[in-house]
Amino acid sequence: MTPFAADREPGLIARALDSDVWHSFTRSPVVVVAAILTALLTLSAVFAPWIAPHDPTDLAKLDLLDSRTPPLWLEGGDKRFLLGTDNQGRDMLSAILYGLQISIGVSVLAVMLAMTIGVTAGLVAGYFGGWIESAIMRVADVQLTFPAILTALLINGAARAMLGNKSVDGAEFWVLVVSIGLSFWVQYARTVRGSTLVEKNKDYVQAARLIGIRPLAIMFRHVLPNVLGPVLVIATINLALAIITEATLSFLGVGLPPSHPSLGTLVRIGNDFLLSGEWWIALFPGFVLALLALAVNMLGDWLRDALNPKLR
Amino acid sequence: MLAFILRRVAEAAIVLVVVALLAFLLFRFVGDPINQMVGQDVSIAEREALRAQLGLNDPLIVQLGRFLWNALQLDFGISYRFRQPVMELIGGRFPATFELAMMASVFALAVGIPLGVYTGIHRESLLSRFFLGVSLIGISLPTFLIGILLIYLFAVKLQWLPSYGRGATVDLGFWKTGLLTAAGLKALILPAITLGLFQLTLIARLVRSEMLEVLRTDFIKFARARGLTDRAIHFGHALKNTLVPVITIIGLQIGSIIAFAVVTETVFQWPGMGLLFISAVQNADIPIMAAYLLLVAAIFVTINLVVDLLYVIVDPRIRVAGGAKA
Amino acid sequence: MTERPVLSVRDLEVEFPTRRGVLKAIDRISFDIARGEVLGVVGESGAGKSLTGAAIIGLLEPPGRIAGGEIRLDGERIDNLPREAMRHIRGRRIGMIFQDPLTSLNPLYRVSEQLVETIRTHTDLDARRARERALALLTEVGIPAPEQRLDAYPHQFSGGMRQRVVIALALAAEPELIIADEPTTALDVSVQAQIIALLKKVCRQHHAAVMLITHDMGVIAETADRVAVMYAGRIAEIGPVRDVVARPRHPYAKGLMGAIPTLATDAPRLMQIPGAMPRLNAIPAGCAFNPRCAAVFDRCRRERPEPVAIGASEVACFLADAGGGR
Ligand SMILES: Nc1ncnc2c1ncn2[C@@H]1O[C@H](COP(=O)(O)OP(=O)(O)OP(=O)(O)O)[C@@H](O)[C@H]1O
Ligand SMILES: [Mg+2]
Repeated sequence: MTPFAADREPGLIARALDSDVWHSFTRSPVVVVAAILTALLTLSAVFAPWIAPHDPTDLAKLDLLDSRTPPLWLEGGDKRFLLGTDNQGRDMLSAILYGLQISIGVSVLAVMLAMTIGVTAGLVAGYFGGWIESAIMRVADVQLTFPAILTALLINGAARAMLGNKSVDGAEFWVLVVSIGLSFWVQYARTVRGSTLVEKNKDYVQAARLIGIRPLAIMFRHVLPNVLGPVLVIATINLALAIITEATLSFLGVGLPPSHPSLGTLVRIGNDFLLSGEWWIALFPGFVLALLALAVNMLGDWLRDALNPKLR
Repeated sequence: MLAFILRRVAEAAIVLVVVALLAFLLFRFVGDPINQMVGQDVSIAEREALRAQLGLNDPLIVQLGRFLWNALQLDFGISYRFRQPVMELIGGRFPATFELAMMASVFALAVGIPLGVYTGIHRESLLSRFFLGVSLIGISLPTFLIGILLIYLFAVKLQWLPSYGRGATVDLGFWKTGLLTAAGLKALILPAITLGLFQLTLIARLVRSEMLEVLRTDFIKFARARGLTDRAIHFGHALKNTLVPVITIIGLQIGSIIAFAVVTETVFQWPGMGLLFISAVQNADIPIMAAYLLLVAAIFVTINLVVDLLYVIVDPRIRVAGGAKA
Repeated sequence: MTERPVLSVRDLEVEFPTRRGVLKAIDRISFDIARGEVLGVVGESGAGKSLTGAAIIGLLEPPGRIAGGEIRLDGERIDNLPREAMRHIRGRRIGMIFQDPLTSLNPLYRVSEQLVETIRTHTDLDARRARERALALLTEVGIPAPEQRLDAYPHQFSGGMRQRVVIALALAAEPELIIADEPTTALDVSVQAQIIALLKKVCRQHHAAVMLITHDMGVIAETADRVAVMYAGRIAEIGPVRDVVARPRHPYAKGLMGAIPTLATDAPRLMQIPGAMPRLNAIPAGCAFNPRCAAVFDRCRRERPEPVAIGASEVACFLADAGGGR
């Protein structure tokens, strides 16, 4: 028996399965709809290559003669293209499915990056204190003065300047992940630091220190599990933000290129044809994007209230 | 009180210095300034000459000092892409962004605060429920999508309003304004709504929840027990007490209005600083990015200071916190 | 009855509709308060004292509502008045003092502003006259150097001083009745007696009757003319303070009075009543006190005892004549 097991609060999993949370979930129909929607969109993203009727990344298969075909139910629709095509003759439905995959991929990875950086920074700051803490929290304060989207844009621009003109294939994807990830870490760091300060003085941590367990081990094995609840909440809320940020960056033309479009890139492409009346190129991806962001947002809201009503 | 303000000013100065340091690092180390400035055909010797001439061989600390000194005089060098002084570029576009941000803020405040007060007082009413439902959607919609939807509806379908640009502007010499012509005002409507809508929802939701909170307090109960009119209670006692948190958020929101002006300006091809900044990011035009970074930081820091001063005006408890207690 | 009472409550019922049925928080209570009289109201936490006060002044918080009975002020029914008419009664004819002076005053307004506002809501005085009146009130409630304190903010006063301000506010429009809900509970013990004495003095000077809700039997014994003992939303016993405190007849009142530490005995006679007051959704049939009563018998479990007059008191117990069963 470890001397400190008894002191620990129930971990994340135990709490997540706690009946209260489950109850509040099943009792609000809106949340159930949001969850189903999120699941559906995620599944379509994951299985895009199998569901999509065409391969939008294969430029060789595109035919400019097909370009700007309206959706099936409008005059001039083509039964090969349910939701019409874009300016390069790309099937919108397929492009949206692949775009969804990229959007979700970037956002999830960015949130994971932000979480890793933020949690580590918070743990280190809270556990070691002193000048390390001051330095980390000062940086966090300054960064917090700026809206995340600006930070992401700046990091993005800096990355572009460093990569110079040599375009590395797929670099845009990772540049996006890093720039979004780096702009969202502060909130995790602040939360985790706060909880760490509290945990660090508890008996079990002191006991662990006394029997000579190394600080890193203490932090990750004993302090971390106790701060995971709020971290999970922040992550869910951040996911919606990351989705929107990714889409915005791509829309601004500093995200994913038209050859590998995310939902935001698709809207950007469509924006040029809005004035000439070809609305479907911009509005269909926009609609899916809005749906995704809304569903994830509602899940985040619900999770926050369910896990910690006081956070409201 | 004076100590409070001085401390805030000092904190603001620290933030600015850190940001200036960042801007310098960005300027000096991200990419090679020389490569950006000259073409492929310039010889190594010429490059070295240019390097020396620009002082890029001086000790770092000297370079930093020079950068800061120049920045204080609003000299941020020459844009790599436009080959023009950065400050000239930014200055020429500042009025467009300023007018857009102002209109968006006015719109967000003028609609958001009354909406929040109303939904806070009549929280069971149909309008309140409707607003709460819609506001979550509003918060989840990316700004650029709102802009595109508005363009599609009001510019393409109904053809009531222009879809891009500033319309006609009047040159006042130091300031190009769109506020003096009908076309200019018309052109401002859609971008201002796009930019302000998100803030509007946030402000309304915040005012609403603060109102709900304040209306539960004892002093409101006591005000009712004294027979004061609903008007005096809601708009005098309750609203004033929501102001401190609301001012905080509004201060932060002005920051994000400037940030999201980048997006709105792109959607509406609005010739402001945001559009300039985006093209700088696309082209890795570091001097513009560094200048924009510093400028935006200066604006934010100023707003935060103003917010702190407003607290002092609104809340007498802060006023005496540092001074003598009566 | 020689004179019409200021306040007359008959069979008042207050209930809260909830998802699991209607909770009856006040169940058919009746009492009068004579002109200039001080009625003490005592009873355990949750007995319904505050709700009675809120019902009288028309400030029940929804979904709470008056479900039956009537409330008359000077013979005129006030429980069914329209909102606006009731507002004119609050402050003007019935004043209210809450428990916590620290939170009863709006922190953002000067004391003068809150006084003048109240005075001008209920009278035709102009701003200058209202200010003079405010000054007179502050002087009367014993604020030292009132001219200087008039324009101070609430946080610049101590707790006791703030409760004096609250009393001044409640009296501002010369009401006939003051409802004081535990006016000293939140105060420092050292100033409690002063505040009670002040309350009694100024109310006598202004000919205002007082409904004094408190947990402090000592205060009741010293201040009240009559006292009502509440239990689970009902009045167990009501009568002249001398009778109820010295010779309580209801078993619950006996227990309560037994809990007063007296100087006569060496050890405080902390007589414990076993058990706790029932929750609103589990009030037993018959007498609400029956599960805790030492003298309980069959009838108490079947039938609710109605108040019967014994001397100048009214007691709701079947054994009242027999002296409460012992
Ligand atoms: N909004 C409400 N919904 C349901 N029940 C309520 C509500 N407000 C009050 N009650 C119930 O009404 C009863 C009487 O409450 P009241 O506040 O009058 O008690 P009290 O005698 O003033 O107690 P205390 O001495 O603690 O102030 C309590 O049982 C309380 O739980
Ligand atoms: Mg009470």
